[in-house]
Amino acid sequence: MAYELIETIEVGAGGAASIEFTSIPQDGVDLVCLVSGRATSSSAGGIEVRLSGDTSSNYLQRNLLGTGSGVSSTGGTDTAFQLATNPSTYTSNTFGNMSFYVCNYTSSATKSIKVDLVSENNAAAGFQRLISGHWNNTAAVTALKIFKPGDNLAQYSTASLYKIY
Amino acid sequence: MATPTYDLIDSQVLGSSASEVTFSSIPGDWRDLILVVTKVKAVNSVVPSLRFNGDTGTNYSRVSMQGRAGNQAVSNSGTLNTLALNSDDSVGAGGDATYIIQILDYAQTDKHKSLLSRSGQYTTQANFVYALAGRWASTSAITSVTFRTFTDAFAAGVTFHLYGIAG
Repeated sequence: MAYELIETIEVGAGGAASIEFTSIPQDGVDLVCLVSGRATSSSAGGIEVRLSGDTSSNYLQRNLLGTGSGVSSTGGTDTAFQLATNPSTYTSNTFGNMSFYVCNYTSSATKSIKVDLVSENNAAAGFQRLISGHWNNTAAVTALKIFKPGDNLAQYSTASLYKIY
Repeated sequence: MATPTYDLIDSQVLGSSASEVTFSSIPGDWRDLILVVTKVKAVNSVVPSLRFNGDTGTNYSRVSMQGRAGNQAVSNSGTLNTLALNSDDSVGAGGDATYIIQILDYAQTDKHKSLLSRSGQYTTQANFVYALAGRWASTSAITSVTFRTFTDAFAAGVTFHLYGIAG
């Protein structure tokens, strides 16, 4: 009956292509992953999250994005959840933050997810995203991978995975 | 070993259709409550909402922002007799909506009760995402929470988890 830390992973010197939790214990109800991330390149593409190694187009999401000066709603289907973090051009030592919530992660039904994330650049740009997602796969979530295609996560990027039970 | 701070108070799974589910006799042992409701679908069409302590008075208000295919919007309410969580979007028989609702300082008797809700779904029927802030204009401690619908009923299989957060 708790919110229990499974593991925290911090990226070391030189960066890393991904952060991955594997062999996730199957004795929880929900999963929460808190991520503080930054990319090593200036490319604008965001980080992605993939579950249980599933590379099929089973990731559906509806986004509500606020930029400080406008709001938009986008959505679609992809081979991983499409998220965001700070690129290297953002203010030094700043990281984007995200809460990634998976409901009933051991169930044999498809999974709902909720994401809150923010990134900010020295008061010149700021983004907040609220995401409702759906992993169209009935398998239990046994692994969670955070990565940025064609890029690395910068040193001191961290991710903590919790189970709620 | 660290003291647990996020405790499961109760769980329910709908075995058959129902228009509401109530968690009652909630102890005042925590700082906040979190209600997680998943696999929400309707017999026909529902708009989920909340009531506290069975209060049917016009003591609820909210403001929300929402996104859906093709548009985004903000909305707010006057005083209502229930707190609708996604008032501009219904959940149908093919629905698969999720609600994560944090009720702040629920046992305090010196303030109105505030809540933050995240909800949404992505199905072939409809997809939407909501962020909502709500208020129950009462200083009473919350001892029961009812997850309900204006019309119709929730289908079997809807799953509820009520957590308490120490503070």
